[in-house]
Amino acid sequence: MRNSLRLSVVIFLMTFMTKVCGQGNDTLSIRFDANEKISFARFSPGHFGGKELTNGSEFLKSALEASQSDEFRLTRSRKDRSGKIHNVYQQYYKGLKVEGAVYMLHGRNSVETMNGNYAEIGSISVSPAITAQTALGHAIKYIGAEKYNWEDPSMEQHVKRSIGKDEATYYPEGELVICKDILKTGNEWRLAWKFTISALKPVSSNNVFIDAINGEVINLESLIADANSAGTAETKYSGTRGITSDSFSSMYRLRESRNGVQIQTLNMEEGTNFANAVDFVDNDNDWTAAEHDNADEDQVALDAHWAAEMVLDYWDDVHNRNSIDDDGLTVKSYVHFDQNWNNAGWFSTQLAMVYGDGSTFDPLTALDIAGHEFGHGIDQFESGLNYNLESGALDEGLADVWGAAIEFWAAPEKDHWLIGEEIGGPLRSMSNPNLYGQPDTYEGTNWFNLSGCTPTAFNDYCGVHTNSGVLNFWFYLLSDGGTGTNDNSHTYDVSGIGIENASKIAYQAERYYLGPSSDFFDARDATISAAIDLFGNNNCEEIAVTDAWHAVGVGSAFSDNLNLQVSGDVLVCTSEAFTLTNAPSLNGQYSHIGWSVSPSYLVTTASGTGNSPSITKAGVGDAIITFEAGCTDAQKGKSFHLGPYGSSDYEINGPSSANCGNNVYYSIPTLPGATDIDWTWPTGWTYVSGQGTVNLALVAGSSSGAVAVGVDNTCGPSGSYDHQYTQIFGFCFGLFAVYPNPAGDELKISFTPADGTVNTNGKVKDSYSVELYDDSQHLVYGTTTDQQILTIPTAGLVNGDYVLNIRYRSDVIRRHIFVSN
Amino acid sequence: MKNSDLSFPVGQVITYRLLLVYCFLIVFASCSETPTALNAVPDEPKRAVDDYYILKDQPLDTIRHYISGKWQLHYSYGGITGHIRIDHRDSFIDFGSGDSVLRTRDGVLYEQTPITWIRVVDLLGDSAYIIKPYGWGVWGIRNDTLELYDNSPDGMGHFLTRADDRFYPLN
Repeated sequence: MRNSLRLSVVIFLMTFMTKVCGQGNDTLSIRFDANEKISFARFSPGHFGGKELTNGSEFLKSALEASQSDEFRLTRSRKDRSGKIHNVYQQYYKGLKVEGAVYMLHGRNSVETMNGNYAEIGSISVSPAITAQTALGHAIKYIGAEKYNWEDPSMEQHVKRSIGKDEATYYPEGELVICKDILKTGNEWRLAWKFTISALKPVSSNNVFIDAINGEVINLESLIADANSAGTAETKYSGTRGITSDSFSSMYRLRESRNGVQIQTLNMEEGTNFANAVDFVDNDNDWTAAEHDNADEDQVALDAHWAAEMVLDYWDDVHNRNSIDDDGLTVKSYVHFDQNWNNAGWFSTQLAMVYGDGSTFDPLTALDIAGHEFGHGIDQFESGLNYNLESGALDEGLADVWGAAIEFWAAPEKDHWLIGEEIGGPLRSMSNPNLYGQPDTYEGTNWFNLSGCTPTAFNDYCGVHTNSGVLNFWFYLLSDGGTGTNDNSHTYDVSGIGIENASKIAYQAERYYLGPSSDFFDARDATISAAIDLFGNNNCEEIAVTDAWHAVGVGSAFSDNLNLQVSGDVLVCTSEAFTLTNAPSLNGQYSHIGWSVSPSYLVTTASGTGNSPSITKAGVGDAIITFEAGCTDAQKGKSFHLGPYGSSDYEINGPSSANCGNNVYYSIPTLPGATDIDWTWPTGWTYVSGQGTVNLALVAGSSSGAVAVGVDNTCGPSGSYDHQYTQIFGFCFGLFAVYPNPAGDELKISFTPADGTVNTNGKVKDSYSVELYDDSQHLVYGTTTDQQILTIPTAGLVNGDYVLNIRYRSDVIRRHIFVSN
Repeated sequence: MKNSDLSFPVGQVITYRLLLVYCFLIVFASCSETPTALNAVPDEPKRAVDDYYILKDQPLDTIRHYISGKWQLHYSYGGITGHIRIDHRDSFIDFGSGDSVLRTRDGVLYEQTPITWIRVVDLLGDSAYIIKPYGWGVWGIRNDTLELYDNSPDGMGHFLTRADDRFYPLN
């Protein structure tokens, strides 16, 4: 029976090997290493023939033609969501672990894929010639540190607490292993003592391998990534990107040292204990989607790693910040955290970014999410904003600010104003917060009411992810600018200063001005102070910061108090130089100074820029030169006239009607550069005063007519006169004027004595008599008076013709009057 | 040991007296509103409203006392949007006597970890005990529901109900 079984196994193995090596029917592809051992093979699913996964160790032994001294021990088995099983086997030689010799089998029931490194040891002794203690002495001497971790009581306490065992220690414990003599021939397998040695001064952590026969140091593995290797990664969200990984044991893992900062991207394998995280590995540092876009979605780890690189670089390049704590803190990203933990977070206890999987969102390892979580880490080391109420909303808003700024910096082709647009979101829009249920105005629409709210983990600490929309929109407006009306019905106009300057202000505020309990109004003050720190007083940035806060309902708009003045002649005969005074500085503090002339056809060539342009006359007429200055484009204009004046340049202000004998007045505006003003008036009118000036006084005569004026200036005589027509009512007879005729409610008689003397009480020296008869010659009114102006009431008279007699000295004046009430 | 009803040696008298004291204590504890604890409870947590007891600001012994034992994790809420809800099916956390975590999912043990309690200024700016390595804070107990929170921006709150026969009445 036993012999029959052996025969069956031999026949199976021969058949299988023939199939594998000859690429038989079920072998889809196969590759070999330098020792002609299989490094990769893929088989058709479902073809068993001895390839049962449950028999993986034996399968490997036969497939790799391993020696009798070799064995393959299953060290890890995982089942992905598709049901596929991934087994990892560690090679052992005569019971000792072979360093770097790891093989993997994948499949459901049968092996579908195999890949890894098989070590062909040959024949070596596994009996050490030196003790572990002696070997450790060699190892410590080789490292040569001033102080080791086990020599520091606090480090020892830390490791005991971390591992949870009182006997835990950093003191190295030797392990016999088989390893390559990398530091010698590089090819030979040796029996070695392996020690993990961590030091504080200088900082290092290494696996040191001492030849167990002769005590030579034959290999050194740095546990702090320093074997940076340039690779490529096909990420899920950002295409193919160059990344840096760590070369170790002929493989690569997502670790690196970047400008002195360690980056580690680790696999939680759906667990929650960070101590159990393992490396993501690749054979050739070409991290393809074909390899890593598996059922576990390991490809997203490539996004997390690249994002960690970009985030670290951004902070170094733009803000000169050395990692999360500004002191080189290791950037740890834990991927596949927990089962169905469909989230991302900054774990402030572990000082790490954590990413989970799930169904609502794709794994949250996109660049902007990574920037967001990194931003939470920075806040922990800077302002330490309490994660509730308004301070929590500021914390969330700032995290989004960093997500957007980093995305713009590292991948400008992406829509940086959307947060989480690549993971099945967007979660939020910074340019339009209302779109996803956030407010864009402090206490405006969608605002989470904080009145009476007790923050808990179960009400989002009073809406920190909701009210953050206010800061998000502030940052958007500060960067890109915008106009509109907010929820308080206040109009706003913000001149954007660009996302980089905006982010510098935000960082300065977060670093130096914000504190744990800061609210939105504190943030306004903080960012204004930050803008002044970085760009000086009354700069465009300060104005934009203030106006952006006004736009989101926090504080008033900026008042620049510019008192712009324009100097220059207001009458231009040929050319003129104008100057804008009190203009803001041109040293970069303000955006620009510009000017224009309207109508432009009145000037030809114009020279000069900034605040001192010169213009040349091309026509005759009025024009205005307008300057724009400052980052808010404050305007100041100055009107001027080109050439001689004409009738279109001014207009007479005077009565369109008058009664005969009345004083009438005419005027024109004061015209700059006027040299003479010439008035004319109708015949029979009496001149009183004002010829040659802008104000003319006359006494109206009996005839209607036009008063005209022409103005000469230094450019030449007036081109035309302006006219004002005045219609005359009533009539004048010698010294008496009677008006109006027809009369309404009253009829007036004005008497101007020959010598013109009228007392201050309106009386004249000589009296005169007045009689009014109706058409039946009945006297309806009669009096003798010395009033200079006599008013006869006519409201009670019947409409019709009347006869008026005025008797003065020996003269009698008789005229018809018509009454029309 | 077989006791005699006819003789009362000194040792037995002391034993009976201790028994009487013990019975008295049990009766007293039953009548009072203090928790019926397996171990002495240092302090009773304050009751915020109705049946909501805040453990967050309590001494460590009190917190450990109340969370010890096995709990079923029902769902988590919060996260990067503030409104993510994750329902957990057949997921249990056993805190033992408050110094370890044993997690099972679908009946399979997948994590067994000693925990340490560290006192920190938590994300709300309060001094609170946090469970390492998980980063959980213990918020309190509302009716029968234990509420844990991630001490992390964008973290979640976790809702659990007791899954063993331990009973620590809080009112």
